Amino acid sequence: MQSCGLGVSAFGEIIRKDGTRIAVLNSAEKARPKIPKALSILLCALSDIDIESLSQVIEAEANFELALKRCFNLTHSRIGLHPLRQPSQF
Amino acid sequence: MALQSIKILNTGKENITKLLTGLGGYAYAAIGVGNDATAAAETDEHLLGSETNFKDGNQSYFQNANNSYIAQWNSTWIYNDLPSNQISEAAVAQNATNGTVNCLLRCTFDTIYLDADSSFSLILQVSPTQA
Repeated sequence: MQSCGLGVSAFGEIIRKDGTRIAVLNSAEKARPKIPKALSILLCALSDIDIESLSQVIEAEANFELALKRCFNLTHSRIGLHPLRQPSQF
Repeated sequence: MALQSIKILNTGKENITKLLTGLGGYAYAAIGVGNDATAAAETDEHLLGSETNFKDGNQSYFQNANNSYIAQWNSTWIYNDLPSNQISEAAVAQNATNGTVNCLLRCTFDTIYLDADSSFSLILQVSPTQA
């Protein structure tokens, strides 16, 4: 059986004076593109970070900006601690 | 924060049938927000808040990446657009001056609290679907 209808969507963002934008409605969060599988595997191999779990953390975090900052700090500290991943070697 | 409810209102359904048949009807050119968090119902006719604010809807239409046809309204609200600066609902209306009657759709979401350093940008879309 086929059916037709009208779909409705809502996308909302809070915009700060400094220009940062924070998605605040579900629809907006669902519309955010997922990391493609192939790219995910490549990033995992290059960075030793589990990109899938990183992506899930971002999706679960209502404050997208805060999640990104946390992820960046995590990445930064790992790079700093790992002797084979110093910035000078890239 | 999350979208809590969204409905095409009966007033909107009636108007759509009139538009399709050329037997009257009107376009929707405005978008509004209010401070009532009561879940949207098809029998609603407009925003329910004691505080509401309607603006030009900057209406547009386009085809998105999935080839869906989209009708869209959007606007931005700033600090003090609502006295309480608490936004819990939104609607698409005929125009900004009579937003309190015969809206197309109404939605509610977790309350957004605006301060002097932030604004709220909202996009509402309607798309014919087929499955």
